[in-house]
Amino acid sequence: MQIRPLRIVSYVGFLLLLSGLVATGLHGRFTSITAGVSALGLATSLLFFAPRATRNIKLYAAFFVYSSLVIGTLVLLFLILERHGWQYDATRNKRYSLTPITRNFLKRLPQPVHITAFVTETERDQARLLLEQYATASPKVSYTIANPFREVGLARRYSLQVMPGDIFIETVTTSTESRARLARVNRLREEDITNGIVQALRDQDIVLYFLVGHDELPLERSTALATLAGQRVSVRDLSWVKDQLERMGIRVVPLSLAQRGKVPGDASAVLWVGPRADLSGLEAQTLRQYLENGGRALFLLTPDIPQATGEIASVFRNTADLLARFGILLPNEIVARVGASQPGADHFSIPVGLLSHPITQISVEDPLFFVYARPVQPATVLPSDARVDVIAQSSPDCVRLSSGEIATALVRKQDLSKVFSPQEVGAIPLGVASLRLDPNQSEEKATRIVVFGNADFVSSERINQKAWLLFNNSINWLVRAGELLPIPSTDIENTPVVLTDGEKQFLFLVMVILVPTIVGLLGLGYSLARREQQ
Amino acid sequence: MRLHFYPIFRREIKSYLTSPTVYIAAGLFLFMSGLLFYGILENFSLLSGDAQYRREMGFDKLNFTRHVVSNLYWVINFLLLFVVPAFTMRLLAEEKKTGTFELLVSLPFRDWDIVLGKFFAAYAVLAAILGICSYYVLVMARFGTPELPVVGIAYLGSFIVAAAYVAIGLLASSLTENQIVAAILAFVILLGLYLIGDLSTPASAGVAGVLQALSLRYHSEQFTHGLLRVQDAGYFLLVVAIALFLTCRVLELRRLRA
Repeated sequence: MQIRPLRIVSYVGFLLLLSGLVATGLHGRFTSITAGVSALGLATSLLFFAPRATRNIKLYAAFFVYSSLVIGTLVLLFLILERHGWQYDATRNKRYSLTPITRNFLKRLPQPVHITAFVTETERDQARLLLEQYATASPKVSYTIANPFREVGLARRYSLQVMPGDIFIETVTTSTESRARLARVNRLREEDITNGIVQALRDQDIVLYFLVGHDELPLERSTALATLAGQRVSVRDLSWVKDQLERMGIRVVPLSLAQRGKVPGDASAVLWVGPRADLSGLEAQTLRQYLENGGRALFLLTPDIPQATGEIASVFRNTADLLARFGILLPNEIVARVGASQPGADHFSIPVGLLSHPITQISVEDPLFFVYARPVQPATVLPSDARVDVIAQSSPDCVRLSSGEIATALVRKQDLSKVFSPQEVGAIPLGVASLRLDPNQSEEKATRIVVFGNADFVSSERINQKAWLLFNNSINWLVRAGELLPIPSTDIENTPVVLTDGEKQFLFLVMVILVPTIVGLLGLGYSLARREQQ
Repeated sequence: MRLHFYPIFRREIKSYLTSPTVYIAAGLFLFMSGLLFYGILENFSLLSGDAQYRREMGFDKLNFTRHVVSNLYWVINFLLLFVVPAFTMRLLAEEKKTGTFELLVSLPFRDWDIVLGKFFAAYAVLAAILGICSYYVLVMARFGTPELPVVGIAYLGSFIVAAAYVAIGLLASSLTENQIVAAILAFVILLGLYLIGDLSTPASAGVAGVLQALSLRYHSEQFTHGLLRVQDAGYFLLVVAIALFLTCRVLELRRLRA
């Protein structure tokens, strides 16, 4: 009996294929081993169809080796090409590309990061498209895409309740002793993933405490409450800012100093946004203790003028005393524009200019206005260990109005240019940043305070990109815990099209009937004519 | 520089132009793509005009480029899966069946010349049919607000995808003497490569990555979004190169065996 080696190899191949598939069936899914065995089995079983003549075995072997070498080289070239991926995104708002902010950040990654995205099968391509860009932008980023219902073991590594849409970002450490930090986000979007990486790389979590109990701008959406109360719907709240902060992995917590009696130890900073009542003496003392021990705080203090009296209603005596200790003055005045063409409310819409400081490094050209602003300025005599910088000021056509006659006159719509002399008109400081550092202590223990004479610029109603970046940079400067990256959302444009019945009929006629018929019939006629000629 | 494959290319083109099958296939392709394009437009118009339907379908915003342009070119790439085997099935299988293959290899052409001549001829015919589809761009520009760079990339992508399909069709045609078998084989290979990414569902993460990297669908879909990526263009060029190389080797093997 003649032995035919190719046949024997092909039988072995069939067996390998069969065992690979059986193992896959028992395991419930393909693994690297079962897929490899199945593929090898399939390849070798194809030898069954090789011609019988064994004299050609050398020929086939040469064919196989040569082809494998050439194909292997081509695949290798492709893999090299793929690692240095380049792409051109033709969409108008570059919705399939990472923003320059993320790309710059990824270039500077201090340590490797691994992203594990749990997605449904329908989201797998979308996840891959996005995460591939991260991996291409930085060799320090790797990723795994998994189905939480199939990759149960992997899912359990992260949490007992992993659902599709959960994305875990962890730092990869070489030392087995150090525990990797883990961040969890639940949206497959660039801003979430980038800030998830920032969060994972941070030494500690950022917790911002928002003071409450003084009629501040609410953290939650106020429209529903206003509607229920029968009031005109407004969005004077901080819901947008809160959403953005939480998206960046920052915890936002309301804090009542009157009830709690102290600032919690995990506070990265305390924020007081748009209060209408002053701090009580006890609250001011608690806050002072916190700040003197290296605390950080952001004060956004809007003055408000009741139209009837013209008096400045909110008098922040305790707050002014507190800030004075850190070299910041809060005069009980408001800022008005002399040059405003219309008398009345336009006098209080103050264009804001930013002065050089880490907080004001903003490249966006949006206009920034404070509607009702109070002056905030450095004290003439500063504490020896304090430094206060003006970071924002009004346009140069502004004056200070104190409570009383002038404010009343303004409300009565008098022309301010006739009331003030030119010497009283000028740029007025509207925001300061204070840094107080005991020379014997490290910079981490420094007290940092930022004060702006307006709060409405961060309300959901008024906030624009420049205002958000100013707020974001202020937080960044205060907490000094790595970066917070404000990634703009790449929302799609709404471009609906409604076709009339006539247009629909025309399109159907042209695209479905005319063009295919003309191409088919003309072509058939031509081919038959040519055949007859031949 | 002289193109050695040009005589074969010219002969194949002539053969295509006198073949009624080509015109029937082209007419069917234009009919199907036109019908589906009309359906996409009508559905978009319906969504645009009916806020409740839009909410039910889960769309906050309707973007013409995303809904119409991307879907149209996805449909075209998908239809090519069915059309290309009909164009390529006869390329080498018919030569072998009728015995003209032996005559062809006895002429002073290298295997590469034969393969390239046939490949470019089939591709040129297919490109001409895709060229007829250019009036879809005019329709979109007249009735909608497409982002023209996206349309350009998506359209270019269809030409790139078609090249890979033709190369696979040619390889299938070289493996058999029967045209029907060649068409079925080409369709099975194309469909297999198209759907291989979906096998990642029962696969572990590592295998899933490899399966997705092999997926025709994943790579072709990026063009339809308006993304021109080195990975995707490289993938289709790789498929073309490997398929043409293997076709050459099959011809060489046949010659050596004889």
